[in-house]
Amino acid sequence: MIRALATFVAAMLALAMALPAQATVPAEAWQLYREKFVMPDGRVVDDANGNISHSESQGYGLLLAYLAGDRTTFARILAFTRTELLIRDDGLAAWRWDPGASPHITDINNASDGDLLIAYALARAGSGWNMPSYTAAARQLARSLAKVGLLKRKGETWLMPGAQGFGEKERADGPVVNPSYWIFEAFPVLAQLTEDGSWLQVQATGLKLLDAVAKTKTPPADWLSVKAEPKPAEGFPAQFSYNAIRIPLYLLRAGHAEPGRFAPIRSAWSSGTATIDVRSGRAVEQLPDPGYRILAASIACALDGTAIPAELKTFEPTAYYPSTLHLLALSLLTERYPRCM
Amino acid sequence: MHVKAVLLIAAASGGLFYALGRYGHEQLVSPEFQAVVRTAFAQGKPPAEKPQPEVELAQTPRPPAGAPGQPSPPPVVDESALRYFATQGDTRRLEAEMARLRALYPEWKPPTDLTAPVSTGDPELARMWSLFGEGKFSEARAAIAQRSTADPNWQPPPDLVQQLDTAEAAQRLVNASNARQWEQVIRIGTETPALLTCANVDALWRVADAFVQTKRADRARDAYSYVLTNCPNPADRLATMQKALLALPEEMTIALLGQERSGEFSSIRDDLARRHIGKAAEEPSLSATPEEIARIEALAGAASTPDDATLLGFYALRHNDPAKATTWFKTSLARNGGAKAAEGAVLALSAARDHQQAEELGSQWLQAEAANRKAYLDAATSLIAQDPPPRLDPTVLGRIAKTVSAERYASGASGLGWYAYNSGQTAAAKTWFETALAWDRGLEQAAYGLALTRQRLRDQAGLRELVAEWGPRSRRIADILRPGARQAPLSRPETPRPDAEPPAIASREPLPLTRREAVARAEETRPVERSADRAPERAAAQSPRVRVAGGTCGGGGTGAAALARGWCLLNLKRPAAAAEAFEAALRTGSAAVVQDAAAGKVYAQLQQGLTADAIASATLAPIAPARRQDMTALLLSERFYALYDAKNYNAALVTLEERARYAPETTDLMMLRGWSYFNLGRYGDARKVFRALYRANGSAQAQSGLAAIDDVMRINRY
Repeated sequence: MIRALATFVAAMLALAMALPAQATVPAEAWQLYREKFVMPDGRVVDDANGNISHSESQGYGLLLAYLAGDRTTFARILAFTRTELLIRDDGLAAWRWDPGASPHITDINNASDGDLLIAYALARAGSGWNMPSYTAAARQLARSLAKVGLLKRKGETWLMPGAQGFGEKERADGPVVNPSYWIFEAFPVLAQLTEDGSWLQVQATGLKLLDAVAKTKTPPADWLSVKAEPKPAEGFPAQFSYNAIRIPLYLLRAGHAEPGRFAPIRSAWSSGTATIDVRSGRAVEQLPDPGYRILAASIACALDGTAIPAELKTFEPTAYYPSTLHLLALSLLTERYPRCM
Repeated sequence: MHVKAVLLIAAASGGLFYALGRYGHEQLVSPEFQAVVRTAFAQGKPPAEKPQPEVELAQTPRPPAGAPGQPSPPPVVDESALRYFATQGDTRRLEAEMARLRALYPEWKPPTDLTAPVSTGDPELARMWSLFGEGKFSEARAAIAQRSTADPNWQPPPDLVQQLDTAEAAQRLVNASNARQWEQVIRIGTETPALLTCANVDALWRVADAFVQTKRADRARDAYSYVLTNCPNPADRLATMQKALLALPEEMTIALLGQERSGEFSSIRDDLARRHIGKAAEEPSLSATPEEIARIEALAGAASTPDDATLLGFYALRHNDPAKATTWFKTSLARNGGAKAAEGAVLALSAARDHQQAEELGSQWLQAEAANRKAYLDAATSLIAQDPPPRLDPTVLGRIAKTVSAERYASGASGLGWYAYNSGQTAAAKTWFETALAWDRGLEQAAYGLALTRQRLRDQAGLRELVAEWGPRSRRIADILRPGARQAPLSRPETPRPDAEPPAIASREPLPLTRREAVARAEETRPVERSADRAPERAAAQSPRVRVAGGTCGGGGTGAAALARGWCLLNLKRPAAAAEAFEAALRTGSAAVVQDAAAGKVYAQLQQGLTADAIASATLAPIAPARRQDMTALLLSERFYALYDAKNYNAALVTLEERARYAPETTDLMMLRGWSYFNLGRYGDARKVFRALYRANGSAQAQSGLAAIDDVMRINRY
C-alpha cells in the first residue's frame, strides 16, 4: 500500500518536477504586482481590506514569487512571514496581521489555506531552486497542518478551515469547511514531501465534495456544513462568493479539468462573473474586475478552447485579491494551456 | 523510563547539539541553563509527539560544521560583524559579538583598529551589513538571495548569516511572547542559544515568563538566576529581581536574593516586607515580622508619599491597634493619601470607638469610593447606636439620614429607628424601621424595632400582623404577644455567650444590641404597659380618664385633669409631657391626686430612661405604701439591669437579693441571675438556676445556659 502510494506520488511529482523551474508569471506583470502589494519588509498587503496582511496574502506572495522566478522577493516575503506569522505554538501561521495594531497579530488563529499556500510555495521553491532549508520548512509546516488541520470522519479526510472553531463539537452544524481552501495542486506535493497519504485523502474528499455539490446543479457556497449532505453553513451567506470563485482556478491549476465539475459555475456565470446566491441562482454582486473575469475566461478556454479576450492577457494591478487571482490565472494558462495565451 | 520518552530527550538533545555545532560551542549561556531549557522543552511536549526541529529557514546553504576530533588549523576569524558594530557604535551588539568570538576561538585576540571602516572592498556586502544594522532583516535576506542568484558561487559570510538568524529569532521570540505562544517562545529560546545572553536580557526574561506561564517556575528561576550569575548591568539585575518577585513562589525569590551584590536588592526586600504586611493586613491570622514592620515604618517615616503609611495603617487596624492605625492613616491623609487613607482612618477611628470623629471625617469623603461610603455608614451607625444615645448636632443626624437614604443602607435605617425610638421619637422610629424593612425585608432588628414601636403606638393590628409574619423566625418578636414569655430576657444571653444561640440578626450589626435589649427588657418589665393595663380601672375608680384620639390628652387646669392628662400622655409614650402633667398635678392636686401623680412621675421618668431621677422621685415622693413596694421592686430591677450591663455581677446579685424582699423574682431576672453566676465562674450555682428554669418551663435559653456550662467545664478539663 505504501509502496503503491509512493509510486503514485512519484509519478505525480515527476509531472510537476518535469516542468522547468522557469517563470510562468510574466516578469512585467510580476513587477507591477510586487511594486504595488509587496512592501520592502516582505509584507504582502491586502489593500482593499484595511492594508492588513494575512497568511493567505503571504502564501500567495510566496507562490507568485516562485512562479515568477523571483528568489529575491521570495526571500523577502519569507523573512516577514516567518518572523511575524509563524509564531504559533503548533508551528502554523497566525492568520491576521494589522499594521495599525500593537502587537500586530490581532488574531492568533490560523487559516488552513494560508498555511497550505506557504507550505506549498516553500516546497516548490525548495525543489525548484535546490534550497534544502525551504524543503525542510515546508515539510515541517505540512506536518503541523496535517496534525492540527485534518479531520478524519466517516471515511473522509476534511481540511478544516482552522485549528479551532469549525469542528463537530464547536458548531451545531459542524464540521464546516471551506471548499476553496482545497488548493489541489498542493496535495500531491505535500504527500510526497511528508510521505503522508492523508494529503491524497484530503484531495479525494475535496473532489468528492465538489462533485456532490455539482450534482445539485448549484455552484458551491463559500462555507459548507458537511455534517450530513453538504449544505450552506449556518451563519454564513449562502453564496458562491469571494472565497469559492477560486475553486475553478485551483481545479484547473491542478489538472482536475473534468467538465462536469464546472457546469453549475459556468451556468451561474453565463452572463458575467458575479457572486451568486446559491439557493436562487441569482447574481448578488457583479465582479467586473479583470482578475475575476479571467477566471471565467480560463474555464472557457481550458474546456472549450474559447480564446481569452486580449485585455485580460495583460495585467494591470487593481486590488490585491483580484490581482492575485489574475496572476495565478495567467500562470495557469502559460503553464497548462499555452494555446490560450 | 518509557522508551519513547528516552528517545524524545535524546532527540531534543541532538537538536541542541546541532544548534551548538552551528554556532560553535557557545559559552555565553551556562550549560546548566541550556540543560534546563532543553529538559523543559522535552517535557513541554506531549509524549506522542515527535520533536520537531525548528523551521530551518536559512536562505543559503550552511557552512559545514567543524568536524569534531580533528586538529584544526588556526582559524580564520570573521571579524566583519565586529567591525561593523564598532563603526556603528553599537556597543551592545559589539560586546556580544566579541564574547561570542572569544568563546568560539579562545586564542583569538580582538583587533585594535576596530573602528577602522570595514575594508572588505565589497560594497554589496557592506550594504547587507548596513541593512542588518538598520534592522531591515527582510531586506538583508533579499540582498543575500539576490546575490546568490546572480553569483551561484557566492556565499554570504557565516557571521552575517549567524547575526541575521539571531536577530530574526529575537524578533520571533518577541512576537510569540506578545501572542502568548509560550511553547514557541521556549522553543525559539532553546534553539537559539546565541539569543540568551546578557546582551539581550529581554529575551531571557521572555523565556522565563514563558516558563512561568506554563507552570514551570523552577525553570523560570533558573533563567533569572542565570542573569544574576552572569550579567553585570545593575538595571538589568534589579529588573530581573523585580520580575522574579512578581512571578515566582516566594521561597524562590528569597533564594535568588542570595545572589545580591552589595545591597542592590534593598528595594526588593522592601517590596517583600510590604507584601507580607499587605497580606497580613488582609488576613489578620497572618502577621509580618517585627523586622519587616520596622523596615517599612522607617521608610514610611522618612517618606513624603502616603502608600507605606496607608499600608501600615491597615496592618495596625487589622491587628487590633486602632490608635496606631489612626496615626498612620492621618499621616497618609496629610500626604494626600486620598480615599484609601480616608477609608482606613474612618475604620480606625470607629475601631477606637471615636465614632464622632469617624463620622465627621467620613462625611468629607462620601463622594470618593463606594468603600468610603461603606466605612462612613458603618461609623455613623455605630455612632447613633451608642448606649446611651449621644447628643448629636442636627446637621450630623441630617447627613447620616441623607447618606443612609442615598445608599439605601438598611442597617443604618434601622439604627436611626432605634436612635429615634430610644429618644422617644416614636413616629420617626416607625418611619425608619419601615424604611429599613423596605430595603431589606429580612432585617430582623428592624422588624423587632417596628414591632415595639407599633406596640408603643398601640397599633395592635399592625403589631399582630408583624408578629404573624416574623413570629416563626424570631422568638423575641413572637414573645411580644405571648403573655407567659414576656419575662424571658430575649437576647440577654448573647451578652455573656454570643455564640450560645445563633443571634437572629446579622453579626456585624453594631451596637444597637445592648440598647435594643434594654428597650425590649423595659418594654417587658417597666410599668408602662402595666400602668396602661391598669389605667382603665384607675380611671374608673379615681378620675375621669380622657382618651383622646390623635395624641392630645385634653386640657384643664385642675389637679385631677392634669393627672388624667399625665396618664394619657404616658399611654401615648410621651413621657416628657406626661412628667410635666404629673408635676402640675403634684403642685395643685389633692392628697390622693398627689400620691397618684408622684407615682406617675416615676413611671414617666422610667419611660424617659431617667432611672436615677426615677429613683430620686420614688424616694422623695409621697407614694402610697402598696404602690411604693411595687415601685421599689421595679427600681431595683432597673438598678440590677444597669449593674448587669456594666458586668458588675456581684453587685447585680446583691441588688437581686434586695429586690426579692419586695417582689418574687421574674423568669427573666432568674435567667440573668444564672448568667451572673456563670460570668462569675460560679458554675454550680448557675447550673442550679438554669436547671430549675429548664424544668419549670423548658426554656431554650436555660438549656443554652446549661450547654454553655458544659462547654466551659469541658474546656477546663483539657
